[in-house]
Amino acid sequence: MPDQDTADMLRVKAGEIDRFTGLVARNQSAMFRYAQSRLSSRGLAEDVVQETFLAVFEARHAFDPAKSFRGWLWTILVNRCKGAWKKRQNIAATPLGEKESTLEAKTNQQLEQAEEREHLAKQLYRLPVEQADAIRMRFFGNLSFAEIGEAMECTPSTAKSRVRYGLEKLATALRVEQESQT
Amino acid sequence: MNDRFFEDLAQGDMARRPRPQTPEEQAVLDDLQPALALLDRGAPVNGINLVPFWTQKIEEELQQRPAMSEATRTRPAGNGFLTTWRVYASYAAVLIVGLALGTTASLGWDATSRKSLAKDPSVHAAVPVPHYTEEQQQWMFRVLDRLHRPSHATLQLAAAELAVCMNCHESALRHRFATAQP
Repeated sequence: MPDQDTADMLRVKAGEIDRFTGLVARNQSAMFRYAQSRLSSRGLAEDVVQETFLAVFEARHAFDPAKSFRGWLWTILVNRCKGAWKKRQNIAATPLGEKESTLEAKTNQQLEQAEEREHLAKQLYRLPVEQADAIRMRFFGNLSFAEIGEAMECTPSTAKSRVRYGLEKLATALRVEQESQT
Repeated sequence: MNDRFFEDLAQGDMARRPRPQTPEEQAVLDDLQPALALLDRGAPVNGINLVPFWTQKIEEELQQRPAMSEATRTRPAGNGFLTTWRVYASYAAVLIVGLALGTTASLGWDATSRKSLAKDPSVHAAVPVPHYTEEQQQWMFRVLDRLHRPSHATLQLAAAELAVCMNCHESALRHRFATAQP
């Protein structure tokens, strides 16, 4: 039995396009959090998420019911993020981290949160790309390992290994960083 | 490492993470704790709401359906509003395509003959030369064709798609300036 998103996408494909708004509402936040972390830019993340939905809507007739909607959606999102990241790197050397959020912070609490986000972004960029991406999908996108596998075109066990090794490396790096500070 | 415990532990929702029941599980948690804590503190915040856009777009798409089927039955009457939109859309299409071709030409590439106009081989070697497949050309024609059936949503969609062309050309232009010999 297909999940709610897949069932809705099948109805969109059949012509009930008003169902698409529900798909957007249910998936946009997770996609945005992933894209924001991947691209280190809120504006770029918004564009990529919107472009992904536009692409999915345009290609609704090509949706394969044998696959899950979320796997399809995230495959498109991940590829668009890769493209956007390459373009961004071509245009200018992009500083790592979420500088935008630091600039936008108004209170001390917001500033601390923004600094934590920058810290995390920098640490994730130091990991192998596949491991960092798998962590982002799992923690910010709330994807299952099977869905991560679909989006990354690997098996669920490989997806799980990427998350596991990435977390271990991240924890080790943080310990080393803390020891060097004390 | 306890596989099931790890699967439940490695997720974005803190409230759903299990408490360790055995020394082995405690060791897993201790090992990953710094990474989990930073992922919790530094998670990107949500801040996107595409639902209003999609609600409007879907409404317009649904309104167009009976209008389009009506148009096939009767000869379309003169409509000042649509005519105005069509003129604006044509101007927008010509402007965007003109800018794209102009940028391409300035990069040293003749879009019609597909021959390089660049005389300096050192510059030419650094310039990414766009090649369009038959499928991509058809896609561009579809985008332009959409501008002849204008509405707020279709114009936004077409502009978003053409923006992808422009982004590519602009980044190529910047790349050229960055790598050109003085």
